[in-house]
Amino acid sequence: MQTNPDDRKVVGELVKKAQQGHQPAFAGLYERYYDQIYRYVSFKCGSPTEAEDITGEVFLKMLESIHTFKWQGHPFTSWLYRIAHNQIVDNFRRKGRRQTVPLDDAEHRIGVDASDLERAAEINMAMTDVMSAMDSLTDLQREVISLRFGSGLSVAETAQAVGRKDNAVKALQHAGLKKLRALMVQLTPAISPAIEGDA
Amino acid sequence: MSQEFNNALNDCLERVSQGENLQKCLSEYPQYREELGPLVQVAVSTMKFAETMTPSQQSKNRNFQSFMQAVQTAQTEPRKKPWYSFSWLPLAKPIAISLVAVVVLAMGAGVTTAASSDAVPGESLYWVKTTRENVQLRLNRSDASKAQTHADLANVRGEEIRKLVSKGRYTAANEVMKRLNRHLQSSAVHVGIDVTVNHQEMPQRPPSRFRGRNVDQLRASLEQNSHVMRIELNKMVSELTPEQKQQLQQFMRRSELYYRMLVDAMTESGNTGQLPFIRIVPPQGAMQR
Repeated sequence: MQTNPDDRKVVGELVKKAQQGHQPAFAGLYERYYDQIYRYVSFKCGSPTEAEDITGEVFLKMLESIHTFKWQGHPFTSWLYRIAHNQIVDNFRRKGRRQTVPLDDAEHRIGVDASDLERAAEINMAMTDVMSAMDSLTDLQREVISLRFGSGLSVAETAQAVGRKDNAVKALQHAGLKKLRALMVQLTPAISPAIEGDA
Repeated sequence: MSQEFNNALNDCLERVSQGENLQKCLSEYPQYREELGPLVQVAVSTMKFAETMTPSQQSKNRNFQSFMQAVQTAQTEPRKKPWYSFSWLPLAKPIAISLVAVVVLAMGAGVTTAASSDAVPGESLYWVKTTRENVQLRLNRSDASKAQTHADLANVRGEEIRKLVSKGRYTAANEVMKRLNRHLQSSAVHVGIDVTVNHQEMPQRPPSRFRGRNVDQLRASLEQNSHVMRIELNKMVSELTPEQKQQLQQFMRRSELYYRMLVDAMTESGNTGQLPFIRIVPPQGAMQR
């Protein structure tokens, strides 16, 4: 979950070239961040179909505003996640309510085909359980959990994206996990046994 | 313990996510072991769960194509910075807009607003036009008049799309198309239609208390606007390159779908059977190019 300095350099170059209108740089940014943004959006909105649409819109928005992006010590990802967050909010505002997703559809969309089913079964939490547990977190806790564990952002990047200090993000992360844990134990008793060996 | 515990938790999360054994990490924090373990386990499960959330390759490719098309279009369109965008003063824009709203109200249908009626996004007078529209929407009292105003504004968006297409500004036209759809949805909401968020579903028909003359008038108006838009866009097809033609046809399909869904929802006999997929056949002349 730590961003390595080489990565930052590569992203810096891509952003700079994209700002100059270099097409392959846009393709590079898309390839680099699409899956991450999709995961974040899926975590937040719960519907794979909607997540695909919103993720597409995030990149169009990025294209529109990339000339306004300035390096001010904040990572590019924080800026991109803010766009994604705003798109999700706009989407909810337009729709007027939060969407839930049928499990069948979700399984289909997350790419669980016959060969993946075994792997999917190994995952302790069912999608519906995670989504309903996430729903019970506060907005900020959900944001932090989505960015940290959905998208794999570091504490520093998450802090920039949500506009809080690192310590506040750590506290939100603690509170969010604690609440998730309590809910997951209720919803999925299999998660409760003591830890043995590897996590 | 709080801050110290938060740091320990974060340390374990980072290390476990890098592939380190959880037990090893916990052994360094014996005082927190009992509480740390389950929390890290929940985080790991959440990460595993997140890994299963991958977009379908098909949708990723589709979005990529749209994105790269937009990149290409953006490069051919010069970016205009509106004169009122005072980036040095964040409050300037809302204040300017409020002042303008007052001026616009005072002047009524004055010279400025008349001149702005032909403006399209990116032009200097466009903000006058949208401000006037916002004022117009706020002046409406009844649901029926709000619905009609939104339908009229959807028609105005349709005109803007035609102008933008004729100028080759497809990205801007695409944005206006989204706004056209939003106006149509708002119009529908004001006559009691429950606009679905699922593109595969038809909107629900309005409840009986909303049906009657107002809905009939609105439906007729939407049908008329849809018809005019189809004809006007069709006229442009023959002047375009194959790529532009493809984009224009997408606009035609989308506008047709947006309008048709609402018209069908307002029709007493229900679905006309054309939805959800509507095929628009371009005029003969256009195909022969």
